[in-house]
Amino acid sequence: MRNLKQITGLILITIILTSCTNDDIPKQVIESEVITDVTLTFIGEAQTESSYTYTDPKYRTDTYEDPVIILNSEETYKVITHFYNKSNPEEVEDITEEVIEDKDEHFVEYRFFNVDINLTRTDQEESIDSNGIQIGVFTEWEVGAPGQGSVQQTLIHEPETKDTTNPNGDHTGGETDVEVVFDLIVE
Amino acid sequence: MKSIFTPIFLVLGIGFLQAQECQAVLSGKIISQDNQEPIMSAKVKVTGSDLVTYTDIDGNYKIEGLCNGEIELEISEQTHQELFVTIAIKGDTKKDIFLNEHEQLQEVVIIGRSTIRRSPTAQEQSISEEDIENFSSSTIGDALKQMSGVSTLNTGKNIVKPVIQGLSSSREPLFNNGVRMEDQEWGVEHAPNIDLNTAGKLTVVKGAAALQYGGDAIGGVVISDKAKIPRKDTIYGKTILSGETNGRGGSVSSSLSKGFESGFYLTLQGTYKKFGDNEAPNYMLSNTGTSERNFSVNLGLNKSDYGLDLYYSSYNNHLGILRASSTGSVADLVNAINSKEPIYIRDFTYDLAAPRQKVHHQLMRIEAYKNFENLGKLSINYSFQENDRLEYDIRRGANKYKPSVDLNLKTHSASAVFDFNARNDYGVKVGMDWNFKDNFANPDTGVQRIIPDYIGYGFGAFATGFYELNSNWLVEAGLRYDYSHIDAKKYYNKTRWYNQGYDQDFSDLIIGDYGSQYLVNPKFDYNNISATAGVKYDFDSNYELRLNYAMSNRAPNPSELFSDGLHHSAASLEIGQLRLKSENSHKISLSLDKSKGRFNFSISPYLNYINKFINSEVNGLEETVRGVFLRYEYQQMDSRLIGVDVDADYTFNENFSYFGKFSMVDGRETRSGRAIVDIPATNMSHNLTYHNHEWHDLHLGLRGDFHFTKKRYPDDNFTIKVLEDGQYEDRLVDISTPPKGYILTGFDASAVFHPFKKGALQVRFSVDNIFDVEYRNYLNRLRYYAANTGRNFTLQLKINY
Repeated sequence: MRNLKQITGLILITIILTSCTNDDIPKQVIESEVITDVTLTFIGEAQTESSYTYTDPKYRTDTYEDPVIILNSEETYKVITHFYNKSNPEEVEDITEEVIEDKDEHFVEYRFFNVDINLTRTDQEESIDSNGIQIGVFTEWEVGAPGQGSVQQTLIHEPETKDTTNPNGDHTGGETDVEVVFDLIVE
Repeated sequence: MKSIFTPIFLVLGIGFLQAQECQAVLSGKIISQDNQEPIMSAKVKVTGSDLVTYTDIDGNYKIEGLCNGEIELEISEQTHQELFVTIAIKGDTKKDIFLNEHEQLQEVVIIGRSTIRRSPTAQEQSISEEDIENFSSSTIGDALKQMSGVSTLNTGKNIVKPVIQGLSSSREPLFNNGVRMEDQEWGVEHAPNIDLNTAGKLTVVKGAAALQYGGDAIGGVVISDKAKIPRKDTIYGKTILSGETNGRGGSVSSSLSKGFESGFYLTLQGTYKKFGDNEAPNYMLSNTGTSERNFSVNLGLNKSDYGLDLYYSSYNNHLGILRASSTGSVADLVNAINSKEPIYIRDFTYDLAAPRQKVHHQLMRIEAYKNFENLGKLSINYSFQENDRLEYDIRRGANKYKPSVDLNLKTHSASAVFDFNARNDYGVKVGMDWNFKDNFANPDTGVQRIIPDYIGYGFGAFATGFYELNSNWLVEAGLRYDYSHIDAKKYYNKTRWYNQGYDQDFSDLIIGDYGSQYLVNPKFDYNNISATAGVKYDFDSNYELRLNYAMSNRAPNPSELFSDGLHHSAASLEIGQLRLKSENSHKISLSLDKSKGRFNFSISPYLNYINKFINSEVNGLEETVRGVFLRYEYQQMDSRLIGVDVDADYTFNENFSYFGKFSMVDGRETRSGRAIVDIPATNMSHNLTYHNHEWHDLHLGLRGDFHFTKKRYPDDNFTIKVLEDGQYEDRLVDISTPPKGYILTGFDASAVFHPFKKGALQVRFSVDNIFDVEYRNYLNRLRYYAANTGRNFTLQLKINY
């Protein structure tokens, strides 16, 4: 019976000792690879530059407004895509560099709704993958007649196949890393 | 060494009364009373005749050509003491003989109870070591599925969770050698971390009636006990080698036990398992390999009036999850559902890539007991377990080889139980238990924690008892109180905090403001009462009737309270709910058993009313930068489950027998009548067995498993708009419709040989899914992406030495 008492005592001591450890503050996790923002930068024929940013709902501020892209009809724009991790506002990460670095694993696609836009891929060597596929970070948009619609942009991670027969892009497999819709007005 | 034995026995079965003179067959098992283990190669001789037989590997014996009347049996085995038993033969007679090895008692106790029940009035089933061994290379879930009313919730073939009468996970604690496993098996993608090969016996109590095992077992309790080692000078062991064609792998499991006359004993056990990708009938299931390395050590001292037992086990599992199941948004999910084949198929490999899981579970336990003469037995135990879980998702760049989930749960628990078991006509058990948990979620993953850091502790006290009114009636009752406390520290994204309305109710829990996040410190207490009452009626003929009522309460688990994260395998976001209260179940179960004669059966209907049933169901879509995700939120709804389990067997003659089982369960919300998600489909199984005692104990079995199409299910389908060819089109996201029913056939054959001086070799060959049927199971989380595995051949060698 003495043994039993000793064991019980030991258990109690363990419990008491371990009970007092929840005062420490767990470290905050700054998401290191998450994409929070997608920015499309348009450079018009007169070298005018305008940017539109979509932010993940989880990271929006109170002042956030849904972006509306405004383009001129019959004008051609150079369009550059940027993916950002702004989960830590003090340390903004440009994920685009990573996407370009691992270009074999990535592919950007565009879908237009209700607007007259012809897209061509203008990726140069740095964003052309080992199979000669332009991954779609750099594009050129030839805008037609005025109208109102939207553009959906997707970033696919590790697709099974990539297809640029239609320059908007097509794929099979993989997982969607980004899928955002920008409203679009052609004036 | 000769001793005089006093046999006390109870006839287990008097079957066929019309048996002709001197054609009676006596059969049964020779079992060790100490460890409930069958004794093989024991000599069974009818005194004064030349009728002699030896028990097989499972302790079975059979003597033919006996006349009605009394005979005396002489039982001997080299490591056992000789025993004489008088048996009344009345037609074909079945008798299991239990040998009590307690030196001090100097007697052999032959008892009729072949299994010691955890609750004499509840529905209970168990599987013996010999059946468990057939699943040596599989999981505990696969073995438990052999019982009626037990199905499995799968994530592919490797992650298998048992479901008892429609309920699983937290509603179904698993006890490993008396210790409640604390291994974070809350989610669908977490399976119990236990090596099946450590189990000498598996028992399932279908409900919360066994209050010793907690008051929160709304679904039931799974109890895994190791085989005991006899108190004598002996050394024995076994090795099981299994090879399977599907997955092109196998396992080897070995154990060695040493016993001493003094009562000291030691067992070493280890298992290694390795499989590559599984195959469905028409394609490879890429990234579904698994490997496992487990070992356990057990040593102790077993005296008749006191004892000490130390147990340590280490479970190391590394498994892959179907690559094609890792999708992004709902749009990807729709593509996967609509595709006939998985999107990602590669050549066979043993290599594992993301998504994959790595789990290490260690358990340490010390138990001491003392018997008090004419009073009972006191046992106390202390255990420590550590569960380390790493989950790897498909990630980008520098994070590629970093886990997304890194959890470490440490649990201390202790219990003290006094079993007043000195009397045969009544028994009382009282006990208390404590536990303390510390969960740490490593922030270095760079992914927000799906489960937060928390500390939890609990206390429970119970009393149960039974009273045998007379030879027909037995009553049972029990009461239990549980207190549990949880103290978590969790970061909430402010948007989530506001969207959940927590700013209204829980703003006092905020202890820090960190930019886009609040640090919140929820502290919750739960006080729960559980109770049970039951009766058992023994008909004078061969029937037994049991009726049991159990009330149980379960506090919400950390996953239900705090979950907050993406599940890549179902394009879903799982969101916990701080407002959850304990769920409360009232379960009534009835069972009618016939366990004597050629035809045996058991019919077990039940009704389970669960107030505030915690369930996670889709309640909308959530927009993210990655597209739209399904939002699964925990909610509480009064629900009820009603079902029946049926088992039946029939012995045609000495060679042929039949065994079948059937179970159906219906679950719905009581108010709306809406079906509950993930309730197993009605299923049945039929087995025909040929057994030849004379020729190497040959067993041949043919099996048919019938799974019906699930008819009642909640319709959570919805449509999303997909932009295609410049137009938005509606697409149905069919996550609800259960797959079609199917029939699987299996065959197995086994025979025992004695190539060595001592011991035996059993060779077993089996085929599963003979016709390579392509099917998908409703309770397989990966059914959206791929079919279940196809045909599989298994060759198993079991060596006892």
